[in-house]
Amino acid sequence: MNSLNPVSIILILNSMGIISLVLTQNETTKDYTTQNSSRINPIENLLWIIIIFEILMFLITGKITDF
Amino acid sequence: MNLNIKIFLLCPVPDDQKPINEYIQLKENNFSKLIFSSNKSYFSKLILDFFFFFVLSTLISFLLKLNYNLILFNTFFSINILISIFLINFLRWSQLLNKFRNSRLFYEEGSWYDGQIWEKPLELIKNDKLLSIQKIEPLINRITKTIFLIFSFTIFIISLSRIFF
Repeated sequence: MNSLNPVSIILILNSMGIISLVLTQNETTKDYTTQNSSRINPIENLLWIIIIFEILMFLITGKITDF
Repeated sequence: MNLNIKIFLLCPVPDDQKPINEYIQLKENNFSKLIFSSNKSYFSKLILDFFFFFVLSTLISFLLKLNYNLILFNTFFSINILISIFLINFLRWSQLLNKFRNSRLFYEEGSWYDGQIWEKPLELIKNDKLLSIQKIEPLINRITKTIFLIFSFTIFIISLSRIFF
């Protein structure tokens, strides 16, 4: 075990969250047509926020440590 | 004369460059068939593809006699192939989306040296807009989410490898 730092744990949890969110809301084309297109799903907003957070965390981790 | 027939007859764009024909071609293409599958089969196919490339990379690593950590190497190899497949699909579909969205259609009359612009009639603009919103935008949304899914899976593997290896 090399390093059990909190950043790695946050990244693992974050990526698991992204995977589960994408798996639950990756609609087919047919489902999309029945939806109200003007309304944005709040879970989708959450997904984008988590993705941005994940990218930022990953970049910061890459900057402060050597991969 | 029926308006649809009129549009069809007066359209100077060659058949292979018409956005609707490109859409049909892309839909029937084996490379992008995966995106049209239902939610359950989509992810199962994705996982199957991942394992297929994983096995393929194992063969390559044995042939090239690589001394890296094999599980990590194979995982990144298969992830890279999957990401490149989805990126190519994303670029092709977004190019098609632009063709549907624009009211002017750029096409080649004879060859690359003979570019022309055709103004779409209002009926066709409405039709194309509807098709782009109902069919192509959700597909692009799906591809984007899948790319992020693969990206987060990569980060997951990297973080795990930092802890355990």
